[in-house]
Amino acid sequence: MVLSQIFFAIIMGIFAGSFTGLMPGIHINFVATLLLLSSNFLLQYFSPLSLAVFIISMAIAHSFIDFIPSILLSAPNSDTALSIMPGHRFLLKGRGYAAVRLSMIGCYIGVIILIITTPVFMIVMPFLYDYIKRFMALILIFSVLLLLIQEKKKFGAFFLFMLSGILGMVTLNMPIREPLFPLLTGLFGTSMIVTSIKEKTKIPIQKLSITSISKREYVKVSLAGLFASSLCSFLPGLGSAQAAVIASDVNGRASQKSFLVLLGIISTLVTGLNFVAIYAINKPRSGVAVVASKILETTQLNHLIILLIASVLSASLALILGLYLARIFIRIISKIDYTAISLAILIALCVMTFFISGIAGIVILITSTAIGILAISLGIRKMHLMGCLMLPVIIYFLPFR
Amino acid sequence: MIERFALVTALTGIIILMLLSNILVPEIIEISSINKGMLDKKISIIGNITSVRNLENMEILTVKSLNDDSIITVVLFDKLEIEKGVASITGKVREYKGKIEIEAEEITKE
Repeated sequence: MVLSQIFFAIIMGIFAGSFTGLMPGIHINFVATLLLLSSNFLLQYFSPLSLAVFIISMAIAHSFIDFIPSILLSAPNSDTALSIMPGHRFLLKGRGYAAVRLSMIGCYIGVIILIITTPVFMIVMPFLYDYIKRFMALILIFSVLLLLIQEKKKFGAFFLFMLSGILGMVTLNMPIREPLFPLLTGLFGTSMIVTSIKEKTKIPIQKLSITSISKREYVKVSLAGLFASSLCSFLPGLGSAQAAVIASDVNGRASQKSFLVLLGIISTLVTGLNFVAIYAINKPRSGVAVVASKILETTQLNHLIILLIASVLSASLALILGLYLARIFIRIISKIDYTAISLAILIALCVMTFFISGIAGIVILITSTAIGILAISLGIRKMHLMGCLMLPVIIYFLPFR
Repeated sequence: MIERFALVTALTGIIILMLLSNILVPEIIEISSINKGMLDKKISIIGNITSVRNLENMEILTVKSLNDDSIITVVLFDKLEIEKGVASITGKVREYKGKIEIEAEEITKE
């Protein structure tokens, strides 16, 4: 009975995660909160463990499917915003599918790394947690400086980092729903879409080609992703976005293919480690992990083992489903005029912003789009626009705040 | 040309948002729904201040929900000499020694 419930929870979680992954602006936290609110009713029919399995399956599936709208439609979520630039370049070469596939392979590698390293985290994290927290501001400042040094237009990059950082600080302090949505959509999504429309970008016919990176690169991005994800997933206020910045420093100037794999690794690894944090340091580190810990109430090792097994099963099915959905999307965008698609997505994102975050959200969207366009026209890497999340977090971790 | 337009738009937008952040009032939420996923978010609650502890540089309030038994600690880094009773409190969600509390920015007695 329990086993069948758990399998059912995995399947439903994958469908829920696929839905939230395909729809920019609909976060898994929203679905998880709905689940928590209806938990009294659901617990009459399902065990708490089954509901927790649903949540983690949804989170894992979401991290896979998320890359489809990001790469193919320039419509990101917070974890995938950085994939837009390299993904868009692949799209312009007729290889959008290859970009999505690389990201999803990265996601799967992230789950494998999660399974292998969880026992180590369980032992090491309780000792290292406070120690890492003390040095986190320094690590983040060092990562940002390293990125700036690599830039040709250093002053421009620093200016954009600070501008996006100030916008991030103002936005995250605003009492509106989902402030991250208009912020990251504007910086990474709509700015790209507006530029594509202005330049009347035509995407070539998309081929269902595949590409790969060398084994050495796989090892390199895996280690970089593991290092950055382990720092960011256990500390409050940090997530995939900050992990991506740190990882790209550790990885050095990597190819776009490696970067897409790296983003995929970080996406699932941070998601999974947020749950491991419940058991390692008794601190859930994401909205969905908070909901899972509330439903489970007690932390038991056998729960964690089942959640990890569910993660692998979810990842395997999500990979198959994700590649299938990507092929469908590729066929659709190949048949329709890209400018028309871009305009439709732009309008849809504006409407969604208004409904999710109100008028203030529209102001944030316009402002962040302007900053994103500034970065594109100055030829400065959009990585520096991660200042919108890095600067608030650096200030948060400063000891003399 | 486009760079200048984008820069002016960005700077204007940031100024407007700074002004808006002083005007907008956070939605009132239930004390029971406050969780660690809301850390650093600005929220508003309405509750019954059941106890007030005066320390050297701050006041620590215990606030109970009007609708259920949930309680939360509210920290005020000002000496306002708050009295017990129903109040609406606006502030940021913080974590201190593993527990959720609110760092109050504004308290209005109802």
